[in-house]
Amino acid sequence: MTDLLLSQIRAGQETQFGTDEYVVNLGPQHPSTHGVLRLVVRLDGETVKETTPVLGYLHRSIEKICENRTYPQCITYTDRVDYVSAMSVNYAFAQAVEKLMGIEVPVRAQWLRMIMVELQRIASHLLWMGSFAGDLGALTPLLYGMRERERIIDLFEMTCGQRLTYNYIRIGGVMIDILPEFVPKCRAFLDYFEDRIDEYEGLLTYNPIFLERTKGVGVITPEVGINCGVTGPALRGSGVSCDVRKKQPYLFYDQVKFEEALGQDGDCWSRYRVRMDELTQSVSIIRQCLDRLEPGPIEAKMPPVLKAPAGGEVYSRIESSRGEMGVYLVGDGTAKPWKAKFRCASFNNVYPLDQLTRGWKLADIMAVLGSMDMIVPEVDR
Amino acid sequence: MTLDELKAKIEERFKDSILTAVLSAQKELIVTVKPEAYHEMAVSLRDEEGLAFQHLSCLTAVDYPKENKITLVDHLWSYRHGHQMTLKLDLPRDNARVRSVEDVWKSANWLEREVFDLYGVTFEGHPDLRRIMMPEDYKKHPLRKDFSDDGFIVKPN
Amino acid sequence: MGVELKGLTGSDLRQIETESAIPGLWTLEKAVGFIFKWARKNSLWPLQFGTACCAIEMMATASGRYDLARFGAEVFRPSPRQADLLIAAGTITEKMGYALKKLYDQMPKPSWVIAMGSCTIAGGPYYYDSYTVVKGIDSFIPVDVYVPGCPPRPESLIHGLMAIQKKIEDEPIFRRRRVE
Repeated sequence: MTDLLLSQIRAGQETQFGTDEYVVNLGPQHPSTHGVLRLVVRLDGETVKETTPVLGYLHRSIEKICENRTYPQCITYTDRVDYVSAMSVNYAFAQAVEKLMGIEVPVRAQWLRMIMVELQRIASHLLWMGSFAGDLGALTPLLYGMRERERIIDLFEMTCGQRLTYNYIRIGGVMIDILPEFVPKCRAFLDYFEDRIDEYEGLLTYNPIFLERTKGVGVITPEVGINCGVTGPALRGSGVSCDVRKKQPYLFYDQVKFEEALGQDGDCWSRYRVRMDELTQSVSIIRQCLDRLEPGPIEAKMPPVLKAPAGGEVYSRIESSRGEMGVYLVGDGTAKPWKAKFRCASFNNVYPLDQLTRGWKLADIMAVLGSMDMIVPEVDR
Repeated sequence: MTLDELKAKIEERFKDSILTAVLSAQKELIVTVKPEAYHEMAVSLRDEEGLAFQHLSCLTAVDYPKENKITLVDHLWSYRHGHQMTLKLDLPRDNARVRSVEDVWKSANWLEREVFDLYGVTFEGHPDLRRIMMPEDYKKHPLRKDFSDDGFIVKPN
Repeated sequence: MGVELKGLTGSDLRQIETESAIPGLWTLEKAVGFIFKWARKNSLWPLQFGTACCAIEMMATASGRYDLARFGAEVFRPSPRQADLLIAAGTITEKMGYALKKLYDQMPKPSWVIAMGSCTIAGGPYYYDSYTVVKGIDSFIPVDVYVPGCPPRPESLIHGLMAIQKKIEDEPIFRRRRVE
C-alpha cells in the first residue's frame, strides 16, 4: 500500500488520497498579527487559497468622539490613532486645522515639528524592524530595535514628559520649547545611531534565512499597488515615487536635502530595504533641521476659541511612517468639527493581503503582513 | 497644470454630469456631481491622460440631517500630474443608494464597506457589501448624527 | 500536626514564620503553601495579549531597559493554555470582549489578571461618545490589579506585577473565586 502510494507520488500521478480544503482562524489574539487583526484563511494542505481579514476588533469610534470635542481636544485622540508614530498624526491633524482656519505657524515651531516627526519615523521603523523579524522567527532584532528606540523616547520624554502619547504638536505650534540640552543630546544620539544602522544590516539584510523568507514573497506590482491605494514604503518598495514629502511638500521638506528611498522588486525584502534607507535619510534630515534651528516664538497668535468657518472643509495629507496620512475636516462654524475623518495608510495597505498571499504558504502570510507595517488602530480607528 | 486650468478642463469635459465646481478657500477643487453620472465620471477621471487620477486617497461620507442628505466625498490624487480634487455627491438620507466604484479603484472596496457600515449608504454592484467595523448582526449606523444606543453616553458640556 | 510553642503570642509566631523560614516549625499545609507560593510568584507566565497603545509599553517592559525577566515574568506565552497571568493591555471593544472572556476561561486556574491602562479600567478617554468601547473589563472578568495610566509607564507595570506577587503570597493556595 505504502509502496504503491510512494510510487504514485514520485511519478506525479493522482493518488486516491486527495486533500480537502480547510479553514484556519488566526486571531484576534495571535502573536503575529501585531494586535487584534483576525484572518480567516482557507487552505489546501499548506497552500493559501484565500485570506479574509476581519476588522473591527479595535474600532474605538475615534471619529465619532472627535465630532463632540473641540479642535484642541481632538489632538489627544490623534495620539491614539497611531500610537507607534503619534507625532505624525498629531502633526497631520494640526496641519489640517491650520489650513482650515488659515493659521500661520512660526518658523521655529515648524523646524521643531520636523525634528520630532523624523525622530518618530526612526522610532517607528525600529519597532517595525523588530516585530517584522520576530514574525519571521528572529527574536533578537526586537531587542536591538528597542534599545535605540528607548533613547529616542528619552528625547521625547525630556521635551514633553510622555513616552508614547505625546500630545506635543498643537494647533498653531508646539506645546513647549525644547530644553537647551536637547540639541547636543539629539546630535549625540544621531552619531551613535548611524553606526547602529550598519549593525542591523549585518544582523538581517543578507542573512540567508531572512532572504529565503522575504525575497520574491508578496510582490506588489506598481499598477496593483496604486489601484489598491497602497502608499508609503510599501508602495515605494515597488519603485513608485509616492512620497508626500516630495510630491506635496509640507513643513520645510522642500528646503532640506534628502532622497526618496525606492525599491525595485516590490517584494517583502524591497519594502524592508526602503525602510532601512529611510532611517539613513531621516538622520540626515534631522541633522539639517538642527543646523537651521534658530530662536523665536513657538506658537502662533490665535483666538481663545478656535472656530472653523461654516461649510469650510479641508483634506490635508502628510507622509507618516506608514504612508499617506490624510485628515479630512468639515467645519460648521462652531468650535467642534462637524466631521473628522482620518485616512490611515494601514487600512489600505492591508487590503491587498488576499491578493498577495494566494498560492503562497501559510507562514508567508506573516511575512507579507509584517512587511506592510500594519498597525491595528490605524486600520480600525 | 494649475488648479484653475484643471477646473476649466473638468467643467468643459464633464459639463453634463457636474452640478458645481468651486475652488475653496483652502485651494482645493471641489466638484459636485450628479449621482447617476458618478460611476461613468470616475472611469474617465482615472483613465484619461490629462487627468489620470489613479489614486483614490479617501472615500467617506458626511451626514447633514437638517438638509436631509448624506454627502459622499471622494478625494482623488494623481501621482503623475500631482494634482488633487474632491468629488462630492448628495444622496437622500432615507434611501441612500449609489453605484459602487469598486471596479474603478480597488481601494474603494473597504472604504465603501466602512461607509455602508457607519452611514448606511448602499453601494450597488459592490462584490462584498458587509459590515466591516461593527459586528455583523448590528442594526444601526453609528456615525449618523441622530445615532443613539445603550451604553452610548454623550459627553455633557 | 504542628509544633506548639508555649509562651509565644500570635504575632510572635507570625514573625517567626516569616523571618526564620524553617519549614520544621510549620504545619504541612503551610510548608506546602510556602513552596507553591514561592514557585508561583516567581515564575508568572503572562499571556502575549496586547490590543492597543499599552501593548507597546508592555513590549518595552519586556525588552532590554526595563527587563521584566528580573521578576521572573518574561516568558510571554502565545497560547492561553500555557499562561497564568493575563495582562489586558489596551482598549477592549465589545467585539473583542467575547474573545477576551474566552481567553480568560481557557487559562488554567489559578490565574491572575492585570488591567493595564485607563481603557481597561473604566473606558478611559473612550468613556464618552464611544459606541464600541467596554467601560471597564471588570464587568465580565475578575481583575486583581489595576495599573492606571494612558499608557502606564513600564515602571508602573512592574509595580503592578509586584503587587500580584504580593497578592499570591498573601492569599491561600487554593483560591476560591466566584466567576459570574
